[in-house]
Amino acid sequence: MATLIAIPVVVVLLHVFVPTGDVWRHLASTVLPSYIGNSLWLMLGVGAGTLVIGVGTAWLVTMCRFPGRGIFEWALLLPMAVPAYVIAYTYTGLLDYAGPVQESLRALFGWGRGDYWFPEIRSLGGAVVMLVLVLYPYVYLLSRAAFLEQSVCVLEVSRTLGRTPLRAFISVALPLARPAIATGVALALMETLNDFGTVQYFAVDTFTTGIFRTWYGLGETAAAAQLAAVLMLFIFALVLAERFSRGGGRVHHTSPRYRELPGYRLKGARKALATLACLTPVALGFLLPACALGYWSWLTAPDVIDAGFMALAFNSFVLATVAAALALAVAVAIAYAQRLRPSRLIGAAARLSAMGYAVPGAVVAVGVLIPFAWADTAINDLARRLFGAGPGLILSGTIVAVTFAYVVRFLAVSLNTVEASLAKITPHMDDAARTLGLRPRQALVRVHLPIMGGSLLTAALLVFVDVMKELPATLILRPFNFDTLAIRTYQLASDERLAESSSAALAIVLVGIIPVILLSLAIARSRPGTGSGKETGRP
Amino acid sequence: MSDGSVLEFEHVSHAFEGGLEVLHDISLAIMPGEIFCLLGPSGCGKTTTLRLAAGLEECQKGRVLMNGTVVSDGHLHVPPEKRGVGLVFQDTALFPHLTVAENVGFGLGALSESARRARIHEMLQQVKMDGYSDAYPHVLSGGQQQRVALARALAPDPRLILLDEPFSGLDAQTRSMIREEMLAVLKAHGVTALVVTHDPEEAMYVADRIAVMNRGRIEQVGRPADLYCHPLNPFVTRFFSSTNRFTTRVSGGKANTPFGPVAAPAGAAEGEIVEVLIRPEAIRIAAASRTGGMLGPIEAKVLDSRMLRRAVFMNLCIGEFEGAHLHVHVRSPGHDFPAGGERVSVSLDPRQTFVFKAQG
Repeated sequence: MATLIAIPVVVVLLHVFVPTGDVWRHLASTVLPSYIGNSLWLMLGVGAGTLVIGVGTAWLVTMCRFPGRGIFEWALLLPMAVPAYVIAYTYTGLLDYAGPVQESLRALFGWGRGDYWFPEIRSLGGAVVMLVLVLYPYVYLLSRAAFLEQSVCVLEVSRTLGRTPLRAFISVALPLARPAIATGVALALMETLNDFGTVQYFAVDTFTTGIFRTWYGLGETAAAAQLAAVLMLFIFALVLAERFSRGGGRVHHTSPRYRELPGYRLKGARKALATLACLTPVALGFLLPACALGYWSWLTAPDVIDAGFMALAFNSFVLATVAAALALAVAVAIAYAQRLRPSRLIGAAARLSAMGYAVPGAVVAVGVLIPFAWADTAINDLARRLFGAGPGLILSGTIVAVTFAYVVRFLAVSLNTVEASLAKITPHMDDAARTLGLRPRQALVRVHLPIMGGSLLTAALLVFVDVMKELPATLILRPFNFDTLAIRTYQLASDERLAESSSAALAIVLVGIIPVILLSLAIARSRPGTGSGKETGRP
Repeated sequence: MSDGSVLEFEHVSHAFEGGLEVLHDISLAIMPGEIFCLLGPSGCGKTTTLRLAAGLEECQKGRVLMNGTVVSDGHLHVPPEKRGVGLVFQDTALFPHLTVAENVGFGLGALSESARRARIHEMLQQVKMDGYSDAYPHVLSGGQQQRVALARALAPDPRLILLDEPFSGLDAQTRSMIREEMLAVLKAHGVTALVVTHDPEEAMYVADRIAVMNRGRIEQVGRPADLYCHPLNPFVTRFFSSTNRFTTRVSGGKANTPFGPVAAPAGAAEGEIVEVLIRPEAIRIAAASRTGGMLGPIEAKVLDSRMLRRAVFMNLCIGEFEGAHLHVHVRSPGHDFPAGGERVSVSLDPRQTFVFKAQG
């Protein structure tokens, strides 16, 4: 089963060896350099931006005391709920020539067209800003978790050795948290490479848009797959870099003692600065876009929300539910296979199948479509020979293909959750249940299910939300005339009907808040030693 | 087959996946009501033995019998849920999603609701945990969790209870208290118990009989006093306490020591090299050793001495022996002790001196 999940990635990688001749040479000489250049600039900008904002806010919230800290602790995660393409559409609506910002500027100063300079939002720089605003929570989340795990004793020792709080942060806390920070940045960069909606809308040519265009515009399957393969090289480089940074300096916590964090009390201007530093990303990444979407949605809802809209919502819901259930089932099967018969082969297969999350949706889509189309042709040929008529496309271009792609892409999300929760049931608990008279299956029902129930639900929910937000794979694989909320948002925005797209976008954002809530609850519980309520400063 | 044994191992050998042999030709029999201890360093195979008894591992070679019936012999395997054994772990393995009462009642599926409630109450009372019925495991202390784990294992009235390092997770003071309480509960139930531990003092405290294990083999089985006073080999001798060790030659049927000759092991040839092991408490300062049967006294120089809680620990240098200075550690009861640099006369208790043929 794990092998089946790995098929799309393998198919794409194999296409490196398929000769495509002219088309590829054409691509290589014309667009490839700009794809690579744009992707690198995006990664550089997003990497630097998420690093500074993510680590900075995490440190402030974890180690300092200032007004609003308790709220920022979880509010800083909110931008995660907003898909990059939604924030891109929203800011375009706000900031382009006809948007409210420029209009009020013109009204205020009596400027006309061309009288003034205003930054162009639909640009490479704009794309970087958009991606940073929604992706910094990855870095925030992981570095905050790392700071919380650090023993205060280590920090206190460095203080007694003559370090100021800031120097202690730079020379002790930061290096200790480095593996976590690297992982956070790597995740943000993977999401950057995965992004399709933003760069497509901003006309910044990257691999994802290239794959889409080569596939649909030129109809060149093999060339698209080869672009996907090159993109995969970027991803592999990221995965390796992340592994390397983790393995190179494995950090062990030398002191097992945990105590209340120091909580430096900030005063005066510093206090205000800290609040502002945390407020800015939340406001720009969530509050402002959410308000804008809410306002537009309120204006256009009567026209937009009709039977058609409900059908879209229903499609999204069904797809996400089916994919979540499947991903959960596969994850449970793999996790139990590993527990019952731990072997290197199964372990490797599990890791390979969980790679999907690192693989951009567009790549997964290409990797799914090629073997499915081949299988369809084979089935139809066979059927025609046997019955004189073929059943048509039964795999590609149907719900099957989309669902399969979702499972491939999001299996890691469910697998990680299921594995973590299964690990909480020690083998000794199994043994105890057996000696108390339970057969293995009874032990599963009476011990495993009650303990894991909540986590299984969480795993399914996380996949559900990810599927709701997913754009590129859906766009490539969906059956003809089968639309979802994400697709409708994309289509309306592409037609410059931003206000009308807002209802669908808002629905996606609202659903996206669910995992943010789950995450902040998990974090509040995570710190050993002190009670979470005390530590977060909330009752 | 020994008659009447609750648990018996017959020539059991066991290997992990990958061929590493962890048990080699183990044979032992535990009698009804007996508390039997498997004692040995980590990795000696004692936990594997316990898991074989529980049925959590399948016997590969040899036979495991319970009450005279084969439960595992390489073909047949009675699963753990059919064996009627209780199991207590160091990490307690309480079910985190169930209350104390639900944990204790977990194995009582066959009883009616009211009988079950009565049994749970009775068990919790015995381990002094009544009043915690509705608490969840995570709010209990380590010692309390261990009591609940014992109540859970004893509730279905098992023929045999297996305890895997049941006290090692606890701090020193709780440990001795829980150990005493659990021993009382086990004895009150008259239940047969197999206890795994690496702590010799714990084994001597709880066990009726002890099997000392080393590298997958049983080195010696016997009552605690037998093992301590009549160890069969250097491993068993040294596992129960640190020892002063040196080698010497057999002459005139005796092994030569600085204190005088002691009995050589049976069958040792004239001139053969033998190993002498002396427990630190076997060497006494002369003033305190007017009792009969002692060897010596001889003169020694105190290099270092310090007061420990119940005894004085001394580092002595005994003049020339076979061309070298011999250093020995001495542990003697009492509060008066010589200072470093003083010369004292010391004598040796030959009953706590063990001589073995040199190995290898």
